[in-house]
Amino acid sequence: MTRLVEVRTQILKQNDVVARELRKQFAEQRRFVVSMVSSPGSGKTQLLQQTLQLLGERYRVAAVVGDLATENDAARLASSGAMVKQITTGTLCHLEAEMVREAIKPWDDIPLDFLFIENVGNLVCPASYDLGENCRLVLFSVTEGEDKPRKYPTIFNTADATVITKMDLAEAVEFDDPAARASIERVRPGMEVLHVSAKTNEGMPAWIHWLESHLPASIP
Amino acid sequence: MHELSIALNLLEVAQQTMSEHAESELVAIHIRLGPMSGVVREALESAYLIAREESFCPNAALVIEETELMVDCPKCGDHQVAVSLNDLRCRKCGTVSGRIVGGREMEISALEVKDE
Repeated sequence: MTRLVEVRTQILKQNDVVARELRKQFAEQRRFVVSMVSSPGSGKTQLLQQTLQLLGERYRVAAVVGDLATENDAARLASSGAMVKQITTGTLCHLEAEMVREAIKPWDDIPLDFLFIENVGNLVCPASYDLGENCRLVLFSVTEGEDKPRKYPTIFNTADATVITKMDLAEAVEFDDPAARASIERVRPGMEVLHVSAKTNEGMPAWIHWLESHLPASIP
Repeated sequence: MHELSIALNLLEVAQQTMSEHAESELVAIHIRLGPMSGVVREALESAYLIAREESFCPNAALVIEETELMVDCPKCGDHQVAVSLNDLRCRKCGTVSGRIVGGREMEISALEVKDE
């Protein structure tokens, strides 16, 4: 004979607890924390490198970057002059809240305006893990196809805004922006969409302005 | 493929709960899984079989209840089933709704234990 013990516990309870603590900590520190997810090769690092450079002129910025192997991305980002930390996840396909907490510990007492978390290039696994961020951005490049959001609805649905990257290639690949927006609208109605090219600077001022408008100090 | 991480977390939470409830033998873990949880059922089932081997409950089964994707339909004024994961319209009237009210579940609902 068996009997049922009702429990109702989140399977990722541990991660959720840490994420909640991080979010509280970020609020106290008055940091705006942005995480970025995308498939590999969508231009996260390039965009982040430019972003750190542009924001770095006026703000205190730092970035944590997750990668399966190599520290190349951190080296690229560090060239912007910002503080950068690499999390090498080995075989793990996503970042978890505890990994972020460990990585940013050395910065706990340093004032920061922006903290960026670049997740491992993957549009599936990161969807399940809250990292305590204030805002989750999902990136996809014009070369990936307009229907990407409908292929990965869960990650798009958990995100707060979409950034379409590599706009300099839009014409060459005949990127259909209304189709891309329609695809986003199906999986996350009303989501904000930004367009950038880190290469030609197209859309970068608007992107930087968007980030600034989310700083705790600019929110009344 | 993060299902192995999820399976290991699942076993950890189950073990904690077993000791909190002072139960001795786990027969099955019952979970609720939503289509918007980011977890693939089949992958989780395979990962669970591997993960349980070295765990405290090498024989415990995994019972999965799949939930439906529900949206709060502004037109029907009620919780309705959505068309699909990549089409968040109300299945009944076709109105777009961005408010998901069900379908993200990834939780242990019950532990089935041996009744001594």
